[in-house]
Amino acid sequence: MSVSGVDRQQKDLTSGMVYVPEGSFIMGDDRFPRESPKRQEWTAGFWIDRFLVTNAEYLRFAEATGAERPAHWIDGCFPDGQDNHPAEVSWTMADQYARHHGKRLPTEAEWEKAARGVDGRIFPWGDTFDADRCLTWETSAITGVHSEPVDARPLGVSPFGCEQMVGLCEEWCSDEYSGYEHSHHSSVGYGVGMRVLRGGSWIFPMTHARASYRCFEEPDLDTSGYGQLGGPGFRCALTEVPS
Amino acid sequence: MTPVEDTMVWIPGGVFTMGSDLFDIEAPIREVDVPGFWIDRLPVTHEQYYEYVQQTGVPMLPDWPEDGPAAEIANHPVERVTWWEARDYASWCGKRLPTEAEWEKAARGNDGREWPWGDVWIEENANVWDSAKPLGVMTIPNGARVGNSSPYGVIDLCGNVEEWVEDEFLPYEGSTAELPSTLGQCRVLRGGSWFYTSEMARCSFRRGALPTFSGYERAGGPGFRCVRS
Repeated sequence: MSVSGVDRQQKDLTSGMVYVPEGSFIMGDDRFPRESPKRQEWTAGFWIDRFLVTNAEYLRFAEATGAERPAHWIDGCFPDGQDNHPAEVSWTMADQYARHHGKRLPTEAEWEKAARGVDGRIFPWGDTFDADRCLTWETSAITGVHSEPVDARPLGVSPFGCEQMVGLCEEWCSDEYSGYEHSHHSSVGYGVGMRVLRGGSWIFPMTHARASYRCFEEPDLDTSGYGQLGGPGFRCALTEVPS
Repeated sequence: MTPVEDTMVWIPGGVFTMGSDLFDIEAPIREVDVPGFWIDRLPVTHEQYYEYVQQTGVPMLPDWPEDGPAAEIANHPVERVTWWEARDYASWCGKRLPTEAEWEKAARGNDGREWPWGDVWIEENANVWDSAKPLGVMTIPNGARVGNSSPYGVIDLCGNVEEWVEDEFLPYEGSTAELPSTLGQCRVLRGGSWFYTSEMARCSFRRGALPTFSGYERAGGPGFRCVRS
């Protein structure tokens, strides 16, 4: 393939993605055992979706490939008017979607870097919680709203340009949930096949909307019967294509 | 009649350190004076709440089958109770819900500790998502984690089920927290639950929910314990 061919291919693949350059960033938070230690981590440059993968995008994928649909969808489809809301799926389904598109799920470190930039801030926009910049329990407790469009919170944008990183729905990362290297904390949940979830959701308060907050679920999470509870969503990442 | 000492714990009057600077909504850290009170050693169980339902005809709880809670969960803390229901149960017993300050004092004593047992998180002591999910449990029986005891000997304040307290959910005096003003319609929940990770089970953690909130199928919901002045 010619150099221009590679360029063109990368351009198609990276449409709708933002580029996070190689380098170190501050990861973790010493105030919380599962997030410590706070340290410098290095990542290579990578691309990551600006927005969460939507219901409409996932449906197109399912129609084209026969892939499994979210178990909580009714008659194989998401609710009317929610085309632009996040697709809420199992880790396995998210991983398949990403691979089908020549991409992958972000690592935990990539996700955190995309969410908080390099300066160790607590939330994507800074150090102070702001209920207007993300959909969390602080809002849902009153409004009962459990989902919204993936582009509904432009003011919640991260330093690298990703939106809805925190709140709305948790996001799958590629990593198995385990203790950080050099952590003194142990947990029965580490190293038993759980996958990492990041970013909190409408059901969780500000504690979970921090960029360093970590949660987990089983990869084949069955969302049938979840109804209004919804499930985790995801966005895709892409290792830089060498030119 | 059962002596009060068998089921309740006396919390002596006096100041304690309330709040935390980890989150705006828990700040500021300050001294709060709380008169002495009795508090239930354990949260109200399914069995106790079902007996109340049978005696008074109040509604059954959302996750119960028609013939009442399964025998296996009889001694688990009751969950999916609204604030109104918790309050009615407390009055029926001649008790009331704790205030936020009473709940937090019962949980952490007067040394400002982060967890009922001290300042270091010990996973074995509390039933929260960190271990509940990998162990495949939701609620567990009252008192099942022997380390989950406060300086006064109050059991299971941390994890298992969240507990309703009396207060409206408002920023503390002197707080800089910027939250929707409508949150004042909410009542406070304390202690976290099996569905939430450890950060929400800290002694000073607080969140609000509407008094009609009863949680969600597959995510559980609030329980409570009572106090007496």
